[in-house]
Amino acid sequence: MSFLTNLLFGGVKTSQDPTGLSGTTDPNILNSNSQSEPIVEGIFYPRTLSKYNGHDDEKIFIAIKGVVYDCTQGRQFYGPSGPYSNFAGHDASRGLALNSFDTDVVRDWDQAIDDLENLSEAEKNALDEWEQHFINKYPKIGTLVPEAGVNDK
Amino acid sequence: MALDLYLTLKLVATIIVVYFSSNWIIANVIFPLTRDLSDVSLLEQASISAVRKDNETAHYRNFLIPSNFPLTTGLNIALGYKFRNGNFGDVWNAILTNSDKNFIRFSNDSNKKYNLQEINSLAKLISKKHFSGNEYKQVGITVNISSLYGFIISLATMMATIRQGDVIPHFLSSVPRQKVDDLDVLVIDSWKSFKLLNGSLSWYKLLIVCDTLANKPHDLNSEIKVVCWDELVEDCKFDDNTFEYSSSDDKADDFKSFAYITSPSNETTCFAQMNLVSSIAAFFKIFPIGKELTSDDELAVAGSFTRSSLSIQLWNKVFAVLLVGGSVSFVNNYALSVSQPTLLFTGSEDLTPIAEKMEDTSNSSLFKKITLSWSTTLLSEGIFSKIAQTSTENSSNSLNKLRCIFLGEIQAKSNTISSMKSSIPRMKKGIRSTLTTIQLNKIRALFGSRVVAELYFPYMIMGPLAATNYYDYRVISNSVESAVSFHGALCTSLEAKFVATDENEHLDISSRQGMLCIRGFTIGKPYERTRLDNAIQLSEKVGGGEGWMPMVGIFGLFGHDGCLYTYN
Repeated sequence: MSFLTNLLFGGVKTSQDPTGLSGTTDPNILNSNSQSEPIVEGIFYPRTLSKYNGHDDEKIFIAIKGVVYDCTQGRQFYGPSGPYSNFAGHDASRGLALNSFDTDVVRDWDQAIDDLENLSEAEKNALDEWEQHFINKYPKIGTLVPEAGVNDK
Repeated sequence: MALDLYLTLKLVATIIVVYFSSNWIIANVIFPLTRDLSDVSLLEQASISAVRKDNETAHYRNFLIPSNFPLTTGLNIALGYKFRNGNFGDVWNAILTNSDKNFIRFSNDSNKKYNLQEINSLAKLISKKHFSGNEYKQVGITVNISSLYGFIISLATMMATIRQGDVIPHFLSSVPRQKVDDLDVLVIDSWKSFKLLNGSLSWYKLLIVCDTLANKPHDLNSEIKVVCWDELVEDCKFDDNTFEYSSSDDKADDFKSFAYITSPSNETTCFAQMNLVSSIAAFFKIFPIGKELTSDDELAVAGSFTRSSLSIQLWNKVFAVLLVGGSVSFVNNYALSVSQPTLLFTGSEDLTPIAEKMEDTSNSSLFKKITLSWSTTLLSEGIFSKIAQTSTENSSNSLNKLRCIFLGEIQAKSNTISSMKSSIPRMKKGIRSTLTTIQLNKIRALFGSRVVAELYFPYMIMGPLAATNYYDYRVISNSVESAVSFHGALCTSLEAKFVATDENEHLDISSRQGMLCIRGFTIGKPYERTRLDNAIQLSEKVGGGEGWMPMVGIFGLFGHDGCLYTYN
């Protein structure tokens, strides 16, 4: 009812159902929230991970040693035009181990997942330190596995 | 005739146009400019994590604490180039440093204002004289904290805790009926209660009776030390306005216990200094910009929250107000003719009868009835007004300065949760234990004050779990409120999630429904070994570990507005 009717006849304005229980929630509320609907933790393929690069999708996910982290809060580092933007949506393990931001240390989504076998002891230690940094700073949201027929060796 | 009809039609059309256009202008031009908080803000009251586990909702926090930022953890006191959380010693030291004209008024002597120098002198004297050795471990307090005796003895024990760490205040629901380990001191209210102790007297090393020396029984021949209030504070000089405290470099004091509390179902919870300072800091953050706590504030604490068993919930507010140089009044009922508080902290069961009386007063006059109706209509539109502020015989002048009521609502299943039972019940429709949004707006209108409804689990969390926004006057439809209770946004020192349970498959986790789990810095620790083990197991089994504490039996959902709703 309108404000003047409520004022004249003693009613109150009822807010839109914020719970969704009545089934009458304003579509505008639902739409505005659907954009920020949380992603379910789970299994990522290099193909599905590549979307979360801060550009195609607002969120930024990075894989390290087979574990995917949500690095959206580190947008200034990993987001578009950030210094480490080429890691976003990719497996960044080799790049972090080598302390290199070159594009050739990051594999494309249609290549096999890097097994990191030829890393030296020092590079492995450097990667472990980076991994610890990510564990402490960003939430783990899933694992990175090869997609059959796409990431076969 | 035709002209009359034409004129009538013209008049009707004009009225309709004026009605709809004014309605449109009011709703779309005037209200958006005069609302306390925009509709958009009210729909975004939480920070929500970007990801969730399969059988859980996302993690929800207060909108003031973005995901990946630390929750409110303390007072951020500078220690060299680092910060530390602080403890009671820092708080009381700062309170005395900032004290000027502020005072505390107690329910047993409401006409006298005690300045902080007097309070400090009394507490320090008791602390030094009686609790300075390593003789006692726990001081059981059964006296109402709103009285001078209850407040001072609690304060004295807290001072001793931070100085030595051996003696700890233990707030009890009643005088123990069976021996409690390590409870060496018992504080009771009168000589009358003393007589009822009978054989239990021998359980204690020291008994403090908060009564006068004149009433002391002449035939007292006790094997244990019994002192009354007059003996406790004799020789007090009332000239000590300092509490020197500086933390050790290892911050060891910040990790000490603060107090124990025993629920009516005889379960004890231990609250740490971290809980205290986090809940104080979280209370500061409830106030919006421009409405912060100031030295002009006077907090009135009334009703059930002054009882010893619930008193753990009032220290954060009392200390916060004193920290900014404000004053505190403890009152038994909301008969505040002696004071004009700016803030009121009370329970919903204490305030509802008064609000009903005030509504009856409003209904006795047509003018007042109309103003009450207008005020509630305006509130539902987000506009706050004092036009319907009503006075009763008890509160004729007391409402003039009142700016916010903190309405404590105790979750009906609080006792079940603190029992830490591992079996998860099926959700049953129960009786609503909280006020509806329409009732809250009526209280706002009648008292001419903002109302912050706070949800308490008094034997598990220090301070509220969730609280409605200072400016949230939304009215939720009856159909929704018959199913759920609205609790507002989470407190800034806690985060929460809902988990799916096998016993309640009808609750859809993708619609943010399930059983509540919480994590943060104001949650107490079960004192009994069995309950502590159960809590750890529950956390692993149901909460998914990582410090999550399941609130067994509390089912609810997060709204699209980020607020917490629990099923009735």
